[in-house]
Amino acid sequence: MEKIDNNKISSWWLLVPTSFLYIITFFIPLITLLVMSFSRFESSVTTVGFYLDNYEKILTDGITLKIFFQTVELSLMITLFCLLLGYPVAMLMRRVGPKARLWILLLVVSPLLTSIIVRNVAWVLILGRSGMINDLLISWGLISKPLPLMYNAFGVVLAVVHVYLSFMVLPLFAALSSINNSLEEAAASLGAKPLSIFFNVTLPLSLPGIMAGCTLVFILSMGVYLTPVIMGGNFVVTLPMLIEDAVRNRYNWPEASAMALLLLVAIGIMIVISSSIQKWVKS
Amino acid sequence: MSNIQLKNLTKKYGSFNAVDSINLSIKNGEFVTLLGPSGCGKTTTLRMVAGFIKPTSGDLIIGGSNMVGVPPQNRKVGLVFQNYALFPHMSVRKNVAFGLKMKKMQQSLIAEKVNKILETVQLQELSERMPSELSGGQQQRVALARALVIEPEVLLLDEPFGALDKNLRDHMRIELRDLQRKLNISTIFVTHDQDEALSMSDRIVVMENGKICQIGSPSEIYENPASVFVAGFLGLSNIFSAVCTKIIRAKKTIEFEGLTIEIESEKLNKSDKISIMIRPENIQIYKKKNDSKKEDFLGFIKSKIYLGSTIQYQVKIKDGPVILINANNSKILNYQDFDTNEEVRVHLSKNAIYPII
Repeated sequence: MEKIDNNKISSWWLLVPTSFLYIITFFIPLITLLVMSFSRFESSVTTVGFYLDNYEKILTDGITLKIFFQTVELSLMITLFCLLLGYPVAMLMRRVGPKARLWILLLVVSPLLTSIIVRNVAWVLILGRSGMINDLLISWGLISKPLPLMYNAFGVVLAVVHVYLSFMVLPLFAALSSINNSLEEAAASLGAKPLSIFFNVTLPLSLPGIMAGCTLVFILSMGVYLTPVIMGGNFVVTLPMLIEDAVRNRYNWPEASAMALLLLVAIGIMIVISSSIQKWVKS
Repeated sequence: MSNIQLKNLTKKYGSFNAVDSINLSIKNGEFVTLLGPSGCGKTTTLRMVAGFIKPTSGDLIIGGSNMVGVPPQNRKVGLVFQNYALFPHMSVRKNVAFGLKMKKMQQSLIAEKVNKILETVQLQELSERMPSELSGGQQQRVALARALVIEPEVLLLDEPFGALDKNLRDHMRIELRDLQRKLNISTIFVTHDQDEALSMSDRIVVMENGKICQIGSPSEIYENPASVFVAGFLGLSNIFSAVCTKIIRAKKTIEFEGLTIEIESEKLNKSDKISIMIRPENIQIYKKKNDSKKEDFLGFIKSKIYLGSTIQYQVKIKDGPVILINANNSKILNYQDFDTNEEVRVHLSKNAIYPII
């Protein structure tokens, strides 16, 4: 027994290299962020202390909070579309043979393999006012004025879903492929029609994958910056853009830190919600 | 009247015949076992009956109507899977009630039926447990209850004892067979385990390469195998090629591996080349010193394996083959123990030799 315990303790040493990395790149900056968010910024001078100025401004200026909720709304929308588009893909991947599965996987992951700039420029060429789609529709005489396909929430959601779909599909596929086929066959032999089988067996058993995928996509969407900037123009403003503005244009690190913490808290709440949904379903 | 009929049922994958035109009819309440090595087509046959695999050709009749093309949910078939396939997110009660719920039966009627079947399989007390909180044997009983509660025309069992340990397996075998008799439900049981097949079945269907080799009662299959494959697959056997050398009416003299022996058989003709099967338990060995009978063979013990209730010897017969002998290890019968390399006398009676023609 004693030997096993010793082994357990000594195994923790395996974490040492990563711990260093995390302390330097994560914990120290996080503490700096926390300290900074309670600092005061007056006429370009930062005073460290315990001031609630930044939080007061965020909560009362009327615009920051509004943009925060817009960001949450946009992220939820992206998550929902990823789920709706990703679930059928994951189901298909589970059913086809290994070769076809690999091709689908490659297709789903392909946006991650292209540079973010290339990807967004391509979107502009396709969705812009004189982009491919509008040009085609006008030349066919289907529309007279170009459709607003970007520089709005639609364009942002489309482009972000395109990239983050893979983060939804992979956990979904993992959860679905862990469901034994015989469970669905058993349901069929007990008289369940395909739709019943899906709602009574497949869907509830894939819930861990749904929660993992949604949490992942939501967290990523809350922090996405460059794609909304390009696809939204000045018409879609998110919290990360405000943070960037505070840092780059106003040199107001304390306010930026407070907004970053707000983002972090929102993500924390989302994780708590998703894990409590899973616990609730299990019991 | 036949409850289930398989008529020229065939499943082809490309040019490969997984199931090759099999014919079988199963009477009401009959327990039929499909037995064979893996890849013989037994599971494919079962899955065609369940409706998960569409036959390439042939007919499948259950309760008078042709089921080819009917989806699994519309067949009155109860299925128990090798891994039980219990829904892990549902309690025992919900698992069992699932089929009735799908039929949109009244809540009170569902509760009544579920209680009754849970009582039959002795699981009333565990009805609120989740499948992961049950032992293997209990899980299997839930699977059985879930399959039976919908009152299917036919019960299909796909190697249901595979995951149980030996003692539990023996126990469940008896339990399942009793239940099946009580409910009088036609059953198709798939296994590669000869003991299960022999102990449970009304009839055994031995399959190889997608074809049926033999259909018969356990004793018919064991004692009068139709082919060398069947003889070799069920139980231990000594199988030799033999030639018929002399005929005097029903008395035929055959020669194999340097031995000459006289047997009785109607069918055998002179110069026929046949195989003979001798079950190891039908051969007697004696100490050499006892008075030798003329027809006995001499030999010595080549190896000895202690199996508990029996002892298995390999005996090399002088100027003859090595044969396998199972000697009863009962202390109350005329028990004799032999040592390795001991010289013995081997008695091969006429009845012990079964010619496979």
